[in-house]
Amino acid sequence: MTEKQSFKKILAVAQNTLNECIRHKVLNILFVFALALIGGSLLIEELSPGAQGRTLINVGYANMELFGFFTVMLAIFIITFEEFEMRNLWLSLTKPISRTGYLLGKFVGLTFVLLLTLSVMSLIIMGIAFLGKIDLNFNYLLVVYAMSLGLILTIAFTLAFISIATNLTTGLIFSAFIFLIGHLTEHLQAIIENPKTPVAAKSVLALVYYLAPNFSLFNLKDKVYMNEGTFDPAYILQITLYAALYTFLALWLGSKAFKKKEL
Amino acid sequence: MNTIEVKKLSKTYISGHFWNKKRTAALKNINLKIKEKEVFGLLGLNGAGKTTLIKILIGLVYPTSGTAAILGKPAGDVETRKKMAYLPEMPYFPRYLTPLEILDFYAKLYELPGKERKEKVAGALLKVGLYEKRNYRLKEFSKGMLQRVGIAQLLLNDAKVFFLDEPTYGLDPLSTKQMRDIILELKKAGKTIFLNTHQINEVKQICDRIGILNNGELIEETPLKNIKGSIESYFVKKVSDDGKAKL
Amino acid sequence: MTLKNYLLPAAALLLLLVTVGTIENSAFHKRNYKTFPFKEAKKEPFYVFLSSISGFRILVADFLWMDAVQYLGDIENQKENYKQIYPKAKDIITLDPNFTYPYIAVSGMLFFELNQKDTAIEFIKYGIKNNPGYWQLSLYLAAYTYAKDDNLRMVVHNIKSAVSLENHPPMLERILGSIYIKLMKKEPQNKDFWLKEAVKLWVEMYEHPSEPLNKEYAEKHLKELGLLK
Repeated sequence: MTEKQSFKKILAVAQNTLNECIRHKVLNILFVFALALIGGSLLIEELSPGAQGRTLINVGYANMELFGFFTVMLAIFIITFEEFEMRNLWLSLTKPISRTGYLLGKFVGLTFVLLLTLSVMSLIIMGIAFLGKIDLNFNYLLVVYAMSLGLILTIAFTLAFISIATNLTTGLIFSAFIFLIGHLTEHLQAIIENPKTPVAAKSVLALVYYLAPNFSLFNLKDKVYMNEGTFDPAYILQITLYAALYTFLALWLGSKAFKKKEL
Repeated sequence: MNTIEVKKLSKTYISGHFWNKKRTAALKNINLKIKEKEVFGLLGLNGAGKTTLIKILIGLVYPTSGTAAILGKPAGDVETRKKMAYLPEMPYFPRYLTPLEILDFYAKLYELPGKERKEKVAGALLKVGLYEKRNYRLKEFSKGMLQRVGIAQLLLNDAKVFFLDEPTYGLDPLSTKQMRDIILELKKAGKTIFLNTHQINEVKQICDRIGILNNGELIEETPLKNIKGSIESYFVKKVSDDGKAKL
Repeated sequence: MTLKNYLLPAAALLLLLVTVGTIENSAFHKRNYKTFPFKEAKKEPFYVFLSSISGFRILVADFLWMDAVQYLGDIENQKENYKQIYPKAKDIITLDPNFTYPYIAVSGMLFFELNQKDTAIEFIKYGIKNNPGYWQLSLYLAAYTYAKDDNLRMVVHNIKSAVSLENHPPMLERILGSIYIKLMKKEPQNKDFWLKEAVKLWVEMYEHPSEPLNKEYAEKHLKELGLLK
């Protein structure tokens, strides 16, 4: 099989995944997002004098990350439930595609779904900002970019956990747990640095801290108010590399587990 | 070269928690050779291990020991799958896609180029009588219609080897006849067919040779012409004798 | 499985460790990523947890500000002299030291309405330390410093500059009006000048109020002067 043919098959799986997600109305979550934001903006107008613009944008981007996460989990659940529990997978894997290729195709497809969702959400926020005469600078684009890196990494390790776990629910729960831990790194760091923390607890927490992906690195929305001018491009490149390497390792592990999985 | 060759194949499933593991021998020391253009029917009671054997041959499950080879390559080889086709018992498809979309997807995996892919997909749907429903969502399809979609996907890649697991399961009498006609056409075209079935009529009409699997062991393997009398009686006798021998 | 198959992931892992080291030592990371000050934050576990999830700390600060605004809007709290406003504001700026509006609004309230002048000045100074580029805070500090020295003219100068900025706290306009009244008493020789300035301000507040309370305030003073029926 040539590399070009392998790539075409990965794209075929990706396209199929995207179609399935769209048909399952996973993207309906965007309507909920839009409604929540528009409703929220009316409320914020009244409740947050002097800081309406800031609060609206913060609510928008925080919601984007939450809804982005839910979209990813929902999409993965729907697709893998049908494939593993309903055995759709059997017919696909008896075609001339390697399990690694299939997993990669799923990953690429889910990434398309995520990027589509985030793009629409960004447009909604930009629309609301425009109507509310709120300034959005280039940093906000980088905020969305960094957020998408984190969520793409989430897709990768969720697929890896599902490949490793014996059932779908365990895989998803573990993935959500890692997502949460990855966002608690500031808290974990404080506990580790606290001299009152017992040594045993420190060691365990340090292990968790270094093994779990550090999602706070992708959290640029908290840093928007701390920085004058554009975010450091070198930092953006570094977190891109971090996300790429972690994603590669997660997918590598996932593919190893998936190859061994009996269906 | 044998199209399908199985040597000393065993499969043991391990279940339960690590302090209380249970081992179940699904297949025990299977030896089997199927020649090119042969139609082989595997008979057995429920839970005998028939589906496990097919799943090992197509690469969904891995043997605990022994080997299995299809067209000279180890079972599960990706390139060999270009020449293979598989129909599971009760095929499931993504509910929200249409037959056209799912068959097009499989055809892409078979590396069929654009124009040929469209023709093959259309031809397969016409063959199984689903061309008019090609744009309906699969969730609207009955069990029998889904089975026909399953048959359609068999016809995409001009395979040399077919693995059919209960191909007429859930079909009405007319569809059953249509399915058997398709299998006979494949046989006439010189394809090798490995058939799992409970339907003795199917075996009578289609197979060249049969095997009987009982409790994971291949207790009998014989050309159909060697069976005197009814195949049902032959099957029951072999299974009972095997049961008595084990007692 | 040969060693060659593990070469690529091993190289990726090594590069990942190097990248982590580079990121943590970068100037951007050192400047922007600090250990969260949990001891100073609001003690309720729910808030601490929610705000320790990165990406939601800022949002929790926003919600606490909404809570503070509700607190200020509740007349009942006037009886206790809004004693919770400073702890609430501290919680907000602990979570987000770059949330500039609470510094402005709360320091103004502390200084001019609750007479906690030193607390107000400390508060605004903390704001300047965390937001050195936000020069508007210096304006407020100047106003408080001059007011403390009873240099009301300089206070007027600074507050007028602040009021000319968009999104200034509406209460600042009422404070400016009050200072004009004080100046009329303090400098009787310039009473007409300060009255003219005050009327100009109140007319503006009446015609283009930043909030309903400002319109009421302006209406009351204009009626007292007989300029409004």
